[in-house]
Amino acid sequence: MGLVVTVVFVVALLLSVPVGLALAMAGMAGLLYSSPEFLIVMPQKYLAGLDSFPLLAIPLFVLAGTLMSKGGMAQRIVDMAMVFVGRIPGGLGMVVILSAMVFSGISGSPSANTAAVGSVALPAMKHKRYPVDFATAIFAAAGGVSTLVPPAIDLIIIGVVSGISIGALFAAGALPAIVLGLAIIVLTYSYALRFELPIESKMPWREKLKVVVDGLLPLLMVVIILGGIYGGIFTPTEASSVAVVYGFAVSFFVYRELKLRDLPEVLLRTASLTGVVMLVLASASVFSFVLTFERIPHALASWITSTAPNWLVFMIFVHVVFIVLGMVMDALPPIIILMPILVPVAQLLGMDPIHFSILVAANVGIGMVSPPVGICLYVACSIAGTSIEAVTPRLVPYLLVLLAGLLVLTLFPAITLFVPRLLGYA
Amino acid sequence: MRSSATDLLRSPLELALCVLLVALVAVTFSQVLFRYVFQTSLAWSEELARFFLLWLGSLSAAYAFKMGSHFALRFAVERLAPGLRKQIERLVTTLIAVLLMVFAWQALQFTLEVRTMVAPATGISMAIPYSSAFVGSLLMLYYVLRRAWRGDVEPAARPEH
Repeated sequence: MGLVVTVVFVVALLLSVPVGLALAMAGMAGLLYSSPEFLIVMPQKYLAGLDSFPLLAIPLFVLAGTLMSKGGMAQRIVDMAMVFVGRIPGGLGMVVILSAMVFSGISGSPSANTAAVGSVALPAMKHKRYPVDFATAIFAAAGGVSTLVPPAIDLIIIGVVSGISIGALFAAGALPAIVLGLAIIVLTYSYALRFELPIESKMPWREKLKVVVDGLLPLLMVVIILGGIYGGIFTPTEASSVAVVYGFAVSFFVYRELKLRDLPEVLLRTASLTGVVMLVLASASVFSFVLTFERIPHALASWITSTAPNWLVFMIFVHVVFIVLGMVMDALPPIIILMPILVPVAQLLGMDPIHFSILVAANVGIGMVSPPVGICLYVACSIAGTSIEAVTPRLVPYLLVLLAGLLVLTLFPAITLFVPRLLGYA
Repeated sequence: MRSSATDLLRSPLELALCVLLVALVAVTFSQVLFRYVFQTSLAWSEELARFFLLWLGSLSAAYAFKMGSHFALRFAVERLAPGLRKQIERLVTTLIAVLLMVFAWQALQFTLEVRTMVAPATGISMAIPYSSAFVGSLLMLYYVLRRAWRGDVEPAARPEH
């Protein structure tokens, strides 16, 4: 039956059935193959896949991010980053990377982040005569790091499906995100020196001060979310509702850029983004059940444990699998289906489950910016009005640097585990 | 896409989605508020929020079909000759329709099965949250067929707008 399920899934995907439905289709085929009586499991597992309080954080963080990009926060984050690094060679590129990372600290969706920051930063880069393909490559690469920045959706989902504390994953993602972020900043700097990219003009001090003060409110939001979670004041889910209320208050009362009539648009954009994730979650839960029913995860896990000589070989194998899957499809289904199988195996091989989860999240982030169908790359190209083919040559060095960073994170668990240990999670 | 409040009243699905999202924020935020400001914890807030999420999940999935924002791999299909591609698109629509009809039927059976079960904290019938799968799948079916009828092609990936 495992074969039937896999074949149906792959064929459905290739025929362009949406991923969420392809999973359900494969699940249905598997159940039918056993007995039509089992079909009632479909709605049961579909609902079980969505029925979780921690998952609530996904629509709410996405909503917070959408509110804030509409309400002018994205613009202010970009402006502030400009004050700090704008005068360094390649500064505008670094602005994009820094703003994408700060903005990720507010909204969990990498593609929404790329869109929010990109639609502000890209026109600025074009204005400064940055080569468009280079600009697009930079901000796609920045999107690839954002799966590690709390409150990333991927971290929430990994926590939910493999039973790891979401607070611990949020804590663990921060330092690796900084490492990868620094790596692409350094690359941008060396690019800038070689190609003599334009530098920002000088800004008077008064103006600088105003921009920084304006940018404090978005930064305060990051402090509230993380401080609230680690101060034990609220759970990550509750933090997401606080983020929405704060984002609304700042955009509506302080900046006054959000109008009440904008709200339906903001809410519906959130719903559309949420719907994609929710359908995949629900259907993957049906799919996973069918696999479990046949004891396939168990067989797979014991095969891996008996074949992999040590954790490093296992981890390299996992990296290869996720990169290949990430290159051709959305990363959510493999996370939902494989993580519950792989986390126990990783633990058996002596890895810390938090370290393992962060490595997978970092890997998935790289997949999101890899051609041919990486979602952040796609969003970046469509905003910039260029093609994936044109951007790819500029992007390859970034991907190589990110992969090197991934190797460093793999070999040195301490980088990932430093903050969680400090907070008493690991 | 711009939608004003009056447009919203004319489209029940969109209205429901907006109400659900606002309700989710309200319930989850009041959970924090009650704990710190009023020093009591709400017994029903978490359960209610989960039920809102179930409805939001199914309805937003249907809405994403309406907007064509679900992610599908199109690179294989796009390499085919237009005639063959049309055939494949018809086949895919048929397969999806069959899947959703079977699913909707099973979801209805499941809803009927749980209608006497009562949720522990809120005391409502479990048929209320669980019928979301039935309603959601019917709406998905409707929007998939409508898109096919109008000849809209799903974009490869369009996570925004």
